[in-house]
Amino acid sequence: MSHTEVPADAGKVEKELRHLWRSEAEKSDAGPVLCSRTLNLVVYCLAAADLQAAAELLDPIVMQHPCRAILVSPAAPNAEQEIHTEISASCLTSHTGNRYIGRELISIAAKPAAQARVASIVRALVLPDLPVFLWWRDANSLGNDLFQQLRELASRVIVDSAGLEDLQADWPRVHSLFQSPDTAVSDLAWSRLTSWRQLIAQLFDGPARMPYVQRLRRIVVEFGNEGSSVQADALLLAAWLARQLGFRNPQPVSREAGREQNVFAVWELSRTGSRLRLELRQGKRPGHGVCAVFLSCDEKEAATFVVSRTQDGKGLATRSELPGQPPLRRLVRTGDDSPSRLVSRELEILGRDALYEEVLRVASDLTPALSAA
Amino acid sequence: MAVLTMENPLREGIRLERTPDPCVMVIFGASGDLTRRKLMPALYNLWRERLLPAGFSVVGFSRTEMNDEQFRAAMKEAVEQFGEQGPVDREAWESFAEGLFYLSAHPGHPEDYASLSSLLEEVDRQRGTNGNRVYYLAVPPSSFAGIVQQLDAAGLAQGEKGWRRLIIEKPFGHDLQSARQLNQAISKVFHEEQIYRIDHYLGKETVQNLLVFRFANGIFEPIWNRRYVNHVQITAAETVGVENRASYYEESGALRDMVQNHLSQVLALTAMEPPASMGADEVRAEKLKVLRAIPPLVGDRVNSCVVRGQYGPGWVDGKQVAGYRSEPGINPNSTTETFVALKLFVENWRWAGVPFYLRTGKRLPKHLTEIVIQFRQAPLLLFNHTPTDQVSPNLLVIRIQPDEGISLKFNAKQPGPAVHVRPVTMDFRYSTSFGMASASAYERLLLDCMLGDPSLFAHRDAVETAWSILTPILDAWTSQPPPSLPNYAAGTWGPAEADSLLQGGGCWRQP
Repeated sequence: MSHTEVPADAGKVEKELRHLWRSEAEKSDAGPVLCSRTLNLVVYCLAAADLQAAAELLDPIVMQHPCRAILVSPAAPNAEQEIHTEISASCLTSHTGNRYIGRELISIAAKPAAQARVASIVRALVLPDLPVFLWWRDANSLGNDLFQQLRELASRVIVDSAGLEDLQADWPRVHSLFQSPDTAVSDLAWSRLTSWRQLIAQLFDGPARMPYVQRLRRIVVEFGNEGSSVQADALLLAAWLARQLGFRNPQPVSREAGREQNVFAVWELSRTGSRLRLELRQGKRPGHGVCAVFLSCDEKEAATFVVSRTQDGKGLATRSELPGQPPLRRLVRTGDDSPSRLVSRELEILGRDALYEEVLRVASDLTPALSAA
Repeated sequence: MAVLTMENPLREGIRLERTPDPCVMVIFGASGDLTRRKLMPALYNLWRERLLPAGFSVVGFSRTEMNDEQFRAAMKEAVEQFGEQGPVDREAWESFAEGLFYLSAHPGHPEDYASLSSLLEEVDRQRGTNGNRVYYLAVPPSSFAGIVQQLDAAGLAQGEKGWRRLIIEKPFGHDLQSARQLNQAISKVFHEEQIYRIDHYLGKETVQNLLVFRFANGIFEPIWNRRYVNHVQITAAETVGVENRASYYEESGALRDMVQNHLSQVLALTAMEPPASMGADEVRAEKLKVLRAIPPLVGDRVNSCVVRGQYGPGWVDGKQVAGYRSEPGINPNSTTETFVALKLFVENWRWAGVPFYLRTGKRLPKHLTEIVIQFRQAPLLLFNHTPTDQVSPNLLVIRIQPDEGISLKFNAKQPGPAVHVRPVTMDFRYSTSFGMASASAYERLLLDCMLGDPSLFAHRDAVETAWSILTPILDAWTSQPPPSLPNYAAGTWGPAEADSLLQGGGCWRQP
């Protein structure tokens, strides 16, 4: 891979990139370098020191989505230049063994005084006729000026709401940002829930099991023991379940002092003729994110369903118990939830995720109760 | 009676893949090669990818004496040996294997079907499969009719609870008459919508992409006709010989083995009209219209439009290989064709007069399947430095395997003061634009069957129509003395006569 430092000028960056590709082709013994690109990916990093880590995360993404990647970050405090720009171009080996996948990486680190120029440079560098994805890697600076400027270029913004420091305070702000009619949003906290949602849905497939989904009366979402507040993944999963089951009007349930310290929030929701108790609690499993979901029907039904993360963290196990039937267990591998893998999946989606937007709204209705924790 | 259907409310949204109802797949021939090489690795992968429901179960039905545990161990070994996704995950396998059951049984014994019925009821009770069954006949076609009748007699073919589906593997008969007999025997027991005739070619990603390429782009369809297309070539080449299929191949030959199913389906997808929707019935109806528009070759046209060949000894991939007649299990005087090339016409408004050249063979220089659309030459050559015969026609090449992709050959000016025209190629490769590996054809097709989507399976009418095109050729061959065989060396592109099929001095594309 060739790295070259270039002036912060889009024309010069393009010229240098052409030069890099020519020298890459001359080095290649596998014939001409075929460079197909399917999108632009603009990545915002919290600090210049984060650029290298972000660049490494991009390799597996580029394997699936050949793209032009533009990394943007604030400059290091001791940086000499107002804007430092660096480019690299290289070929990656595809899963078939062909050295064909072109990877172009442009890093831009700017001092605060030069921030205003960054968006204009990025605008000139994005490849025409291809979608632009903005991956904003710092949830807490969502909404700042640079975010607003770059968002205008993007057809989709990728964020991770699990990075919000204060869910109760920040959620409404994030929610309002995501209501823009022009930008679709991918939330990695929501992406991490895909396998959970799939397995929970499968518990109720088929005419014999479907009736139980309407009889669920208690749901507990348990999250990992990292931190001391409710985690975004768990909130979104609880909101999704409430919405899909048709329960509304969440009412916080007060808990007795000194009891169930690990229970962070309890709501009672209603639907015509029935009520649902929904709990968020912290489990003993180490780490972040959802670690188990317990769903049960009312006591006389004696039907319970559990989905939980396996001990090694790499799979999900399900168990369902229905009256008069032996328990049905299952274990599947979910693969890793690395940012590279999650972002790769998000790059496959071009349209808006209407369900996520709805769930976000329900989650906003739940957040006031989080203060009770 | 109105059927009350309930939707699972948790299934809404764009991210969740469809998963079938909990069901049991009963595999006849469960100790055989197909089960080990293809079916079990595909099912395990679907399970691992969370695409099968929790209660999904398999009942193996075969003569080999085994109990459940032995069957599970054998299947694990098969997945380890033939699966393409790396080492088998112990816990995920154990979870999958809890749903594997085995019945040592004879496909001709009615009492064994009673045992099957009891076992299926028990599986329903234990695993919530609710009467949903797929019967997979991974057995020789001669056993199809017998098994189907036994299933019927045991009351397993239809039922009040759940759905029943039947998957059968090619060959679907060995000529038109036998195909009709087979279809009639099966249709006495199963309705056409319950029958899934598997053609693994149709499960390949690029074959499916052919429809997207044609009908999701506005620029190709207007020139996809006799006005702009000179001819179409479809090649399915294999480097391998008969491998361990000698007895089957001796009876079959290249025409039955490849043209009747794979190539005729690819031809139909290439030539079909845009369907009204992508629904299974609509797509299959348009494909059928194409096959019905192909006039069967009769009389002298068999000799002028069909070339058959058989490989002799030669070199493939730097290795010396034996001729067909010296392969183990092959009659030393065999006249079975290992190569066939045909010129067909699709006599409809769009394609009248445009030849479709099909060729397939074993022990050819490369393993590949591709469709080549050769366009007509520009009407007038304005560049007098370049002789007319050196200006290449535009070619659109759709590679189905390996290295799936699409390339377009066009002419460009060679840099320099003089005007010299040279052909260049614009290449789209799946592996460079979409880095992910696609699911195997069997995974896709097994899942589609469980989901009740027959789009990628062959309909009875298509099977019989394809046979009606090919049976006159087989009849003519039977009535004539065979050509002098072998007539091509292994590692070459078939007999020289195949080149003479192309009219107007054209030639096969050398891939």
